[in-house]
Amino acid sequence: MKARTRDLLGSVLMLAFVAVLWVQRDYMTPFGGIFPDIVMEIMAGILVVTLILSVTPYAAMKEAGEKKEEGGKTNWKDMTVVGGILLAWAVLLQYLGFALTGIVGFGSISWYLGGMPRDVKDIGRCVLIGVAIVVLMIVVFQHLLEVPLPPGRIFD
Amino acid sequence: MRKHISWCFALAAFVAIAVLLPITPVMAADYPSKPLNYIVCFNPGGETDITARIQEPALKKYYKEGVVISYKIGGGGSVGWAELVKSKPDGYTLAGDNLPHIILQPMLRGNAGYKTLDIKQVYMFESTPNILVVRSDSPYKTLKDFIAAAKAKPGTLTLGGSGSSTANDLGTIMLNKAAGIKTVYIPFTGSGPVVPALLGGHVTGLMTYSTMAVQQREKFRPLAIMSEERMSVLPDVPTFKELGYDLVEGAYRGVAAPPGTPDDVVAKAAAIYEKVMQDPDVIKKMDENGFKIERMGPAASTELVKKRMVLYKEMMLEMGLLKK
Amino acid sequence: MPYVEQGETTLLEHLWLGLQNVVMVHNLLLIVAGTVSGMIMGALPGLTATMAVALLVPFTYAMNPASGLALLGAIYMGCVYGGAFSAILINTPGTPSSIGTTFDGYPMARQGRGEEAIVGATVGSAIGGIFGVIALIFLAPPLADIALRFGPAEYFWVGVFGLTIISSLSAGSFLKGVVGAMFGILVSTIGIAPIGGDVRFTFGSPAMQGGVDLIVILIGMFCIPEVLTIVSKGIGGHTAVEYKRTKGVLWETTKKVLVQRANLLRSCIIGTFIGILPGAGGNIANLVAYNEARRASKTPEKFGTGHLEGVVATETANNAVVGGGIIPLVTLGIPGAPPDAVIYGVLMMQGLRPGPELFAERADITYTFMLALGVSALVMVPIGIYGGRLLTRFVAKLPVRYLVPGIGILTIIGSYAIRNNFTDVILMLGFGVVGYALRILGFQAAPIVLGLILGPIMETGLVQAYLTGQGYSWPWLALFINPISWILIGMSILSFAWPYFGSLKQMFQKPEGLGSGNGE
Repeated sequence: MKARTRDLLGSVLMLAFVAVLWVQRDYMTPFGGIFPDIVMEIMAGILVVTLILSVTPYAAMKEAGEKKEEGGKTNWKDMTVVGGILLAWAVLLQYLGFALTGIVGFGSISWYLGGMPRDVKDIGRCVLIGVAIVVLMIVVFQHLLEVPLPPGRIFD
Repeated sequence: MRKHISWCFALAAFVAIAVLLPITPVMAADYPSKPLNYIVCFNPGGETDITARIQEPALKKYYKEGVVISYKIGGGGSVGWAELVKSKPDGYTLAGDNLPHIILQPMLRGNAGYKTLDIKQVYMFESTPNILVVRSDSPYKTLKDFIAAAKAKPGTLTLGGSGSSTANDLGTIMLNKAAGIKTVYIPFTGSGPVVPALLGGHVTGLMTYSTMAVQQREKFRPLAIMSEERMSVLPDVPTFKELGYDLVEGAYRGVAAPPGTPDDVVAKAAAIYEKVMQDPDVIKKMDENGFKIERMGPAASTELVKKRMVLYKEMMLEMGLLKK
Repeated sequence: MPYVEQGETTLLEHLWLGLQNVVMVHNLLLIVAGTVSGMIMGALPGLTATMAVALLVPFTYAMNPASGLALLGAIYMGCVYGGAFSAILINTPGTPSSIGTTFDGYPMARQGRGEEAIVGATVGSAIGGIFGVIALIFLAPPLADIALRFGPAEYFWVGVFGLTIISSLSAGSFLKGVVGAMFGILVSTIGIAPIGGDVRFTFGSPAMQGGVDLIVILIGMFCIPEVLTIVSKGIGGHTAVEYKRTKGVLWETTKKVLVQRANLLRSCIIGTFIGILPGAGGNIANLVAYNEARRASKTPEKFGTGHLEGVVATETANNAVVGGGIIPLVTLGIPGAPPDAVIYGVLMMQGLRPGPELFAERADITYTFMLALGVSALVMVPIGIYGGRLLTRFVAKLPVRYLVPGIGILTIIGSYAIRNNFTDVILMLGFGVVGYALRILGFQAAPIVLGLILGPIMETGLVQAYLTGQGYSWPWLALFINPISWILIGMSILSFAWPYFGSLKQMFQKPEGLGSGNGE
């Protein structure tokens, strides 16, 4: 991504964030809003400046002097899959409980990242390791440290 | 070779399932037969936590399967209470709850994640009355001095306290109204930070809980306490009532259950807490630390909550703090 | 202040008594067990020192007070140190006090110098820990007095001073660092206002009233983007961290660390001092120390690329906080940092009232406790170095396919365990994705986290000062009354303008052949 686009996109997104908070302002006390308001105003001011700078020749100058980023293509597909699994894991955590989601989550990620060959032996191994890790976590956290791990709504 | 592996797999799976599947719950008739999950909705080291720790050894005698103190912190307690009202109403999940917090939060916030009366009162075990203190080297030696100074310079005397919309906050409001003065309440994030604020001279005095006055005996001079009678651990501190101001306010702490918890389970839990609060070790530690022991069962505490709801609603409307 | 004046003899007598207590076998065993448990819990992201200490309080009921406190102290010291391991190996501060260790520690691990980083962190932590304990034993009363002079206005300025560190943290655009910090500050305002109780920016959901927890964002913004990067850069046996077996790393590195006398001393002082300020939290000590080390260094540009000095600065400071935080606890009864509040609770339950009484009447317990902290700091060294070496090798050899889900499971447990809250887990991942996106756009995680930490400190101080000033002609005058405020304002301006001094100097110097543009 070119430096100019980065600056422009960054400024726009941050401004959007400030806007999202700005419209939610609804203060009860006379002093509840002093601090956030000041911060939002200053931040918006700076962002407008960076926004303008990012579309002016100044940005082009900066871009010329910038180093090229480290090589290596970004594997978006793998990232999305792993990210998706993690997200599903987090969402299902409260419904299926730690044990189940842990085994499935760990197993599926380690299987997916394992590359070729992907056969039944591979799945078996990943599930086994997943089970081992999950059991270890449960013993350490739930029983040793008394930090309760979610049992899951369906098991309650 | 293949057979060997599949046996290993089966064995491992069996062991795993045995460890992982939680034990199914038993009937509520033989309460308590499972461990107690005692939720503390405030930071470790705070009054609620300390109370829970004091009670823990005694509770373990009755909850033979164990007592687990867990923390659900946030929103001044609201996160924990919002969780509580969604928890299983089997009597094994109880949370420490506080007045006036559980009344004021839903009242003032619109949606605090729970409704005051959804929280089923089990037992109210302590209160910490508000107490007005200044530094021991302060020029104000009595309540009269303090009020006279406040009248002479309205808006300059500052009183530190724990939190906003808490007993300390209300206490200051009530004092201002009753004495016709204008002191400024400075909220701090908890009772801890108010101590250095007063010791360092950053506030004139504190409207804080009795526990803080007891802990800092040497350096604090209590002027008056907002309880019905003098506390035995602070015998020289007059009550506001004695001095002519009918002000009785403080934080109440108790334990509560999710809505829908069967009444007989609630009664059993209340009986356990009653016994815990009769434990001499518990009594000793509570007294030493400045807690005033209350003994209110489910009915009495629910009454207290309802009465206070009416009282606070009036106060909030009068102060213009209520939104609707 | 009515403190018991300690005559020289009495102090030494107490120390001797305490020493005899501490070296009793069962106490030593407890200290070792506590240190190791603390280290492990510190290394796990999501388990903070406060939680670690709170979790083990029930174990202390059966013990006599001195032993119980020794155990808790050892856990605390070990925990703060343990955060370095995950900071160095997986770019995730195991505790917030190790945020700064990721800046140089992780790059060092990626370059195959992970062992060096761990040795540096270990030696630094031990020295910092011992320094904090020495300050505690000998300088507690005067330091506590200084801490008392810090009122709301001063805390605000401490927060402002903390913000000037941004220039050190933003590799690249300074403006983006500032915007990042303000983003962090705004995120910290989500939830219930610390003063006044306003419900702010909760997007209509009561679940958000609890605000966004620091640890959640720490794990999310430091760990997840790294994990995603590892995944996206290729799979199949590649490891994330390299390990080059070098002989004599231990002694070489120790020598390198001990040579950095100025860095060590400065970081110790910073850590102890910030530790005595109740409410400053101690989490910023490592960042301030990092910043100061960078400013004082002759090669500031090396910081952030894997420079040992950076790791030493942060780890020394954060362990010095431990001793420092206990100073107000035992002298005034005010916890200096959150774990101290738990210890305070334990003291109260044992019937020990913190204050001069602890020093005078129950001196045996007090000095045993303090010496136990010191012993714990020493114990950390062999365990940490040996364990750290094993851990580094393990992580380095672990294939990505197991490392990634392993980190995944740890982060999920960690973010859940903080508040027993499912929303936190989802928030953690959400911020992870946001963090990754922001990183691509040029916004580093460190300034954002800095804003998150400092936001509440600044706001609390600001609003409290404003309220205190209601009696003045201009309420904001309260911010400028105390001389300490002036000192802090001066320090902030200096710290902010420092990078520009360099270029100013260049402007006025006669150019003797072209330099390589070494200024900021």
